[in-house]
Amino acid sequence: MQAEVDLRRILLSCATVGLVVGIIGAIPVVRLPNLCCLWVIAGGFTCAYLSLRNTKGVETVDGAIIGAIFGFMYGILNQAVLFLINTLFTLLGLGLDVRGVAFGGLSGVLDLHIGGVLWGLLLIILTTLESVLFGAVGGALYAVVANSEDIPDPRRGKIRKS
Amino acid sequence: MKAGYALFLSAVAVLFTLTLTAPYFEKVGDEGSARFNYEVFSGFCHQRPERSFHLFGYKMAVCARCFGVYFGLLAGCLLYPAVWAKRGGIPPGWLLAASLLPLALDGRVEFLGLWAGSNLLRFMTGLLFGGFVPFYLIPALDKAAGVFIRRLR
Repeated sequence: MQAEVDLRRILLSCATVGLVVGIIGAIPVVRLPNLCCLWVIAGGFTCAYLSLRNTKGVETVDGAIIGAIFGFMYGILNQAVLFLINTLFTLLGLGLDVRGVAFGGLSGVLDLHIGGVLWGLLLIILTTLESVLFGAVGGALYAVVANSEDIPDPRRGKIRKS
Repeated sequence: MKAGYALFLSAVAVLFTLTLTAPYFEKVGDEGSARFNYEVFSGFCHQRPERSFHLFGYKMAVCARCFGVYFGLLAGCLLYPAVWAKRGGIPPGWLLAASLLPLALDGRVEFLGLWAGSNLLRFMTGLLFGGFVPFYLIPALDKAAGVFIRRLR
């Protein structure tokens, strides 16, 4: 029962944070501070915190898995929101490929070659893979911060076992 | 070879290759494939030309800092079996946080207009962070893969 409740909490926090960061990360101009995946890392960190804050002895693998779940949700939600925003921009007659204002994302590849839809699917898979990778980094970061009692004494050079 | 390592190496190798192929596609005139390459990273990187390295006269799919991260991920992954695998476990946690610090600081200060760094510095801060990440994620992935395989049995 406990495991079931925890899983629900994990999924809920990942979906909530994934949606919030996914929307922020898709809004033109606002998305600019998302430099080098830092928002995705921060999202993974936040999800791991929300899910594991009452858990003692958090392992890196736990944090990484929760971060990866966040990354998966972020990758899908971000592309969906980006697609909606880009469609809106197109309807308003604004360009898609204005760097810093709006990125193409899914909309940017749907008209590629004959198999635009296949390119779109591949794009979603690859961007989700990136999100999972960097989300897992964020979750792992939370785990190492949460286990601050394991910070090694430099004089002894303690290595923490996972 | 452990499943987690193989999975991580494959993912990183695919992403690293994609950072390099965009300028190549531009060079050979395959604009569709080049555009696809750039779009894959557009959600994660600003891709500004003046902050990116160029290959064949065309900018790479990611900025110098992100290229450093992907290069570091691949380098760390390739070094992992020789440097760390036998030792096992994960390095001290503070090292991961410390490796992220220069990247975050340089990036934020630069974003606020208080500091104009160079592409080499961006690359180095990215490389430092990316190089450490595999030493934390590969053991985690190996463990997760082990649990998954046990449950399947």
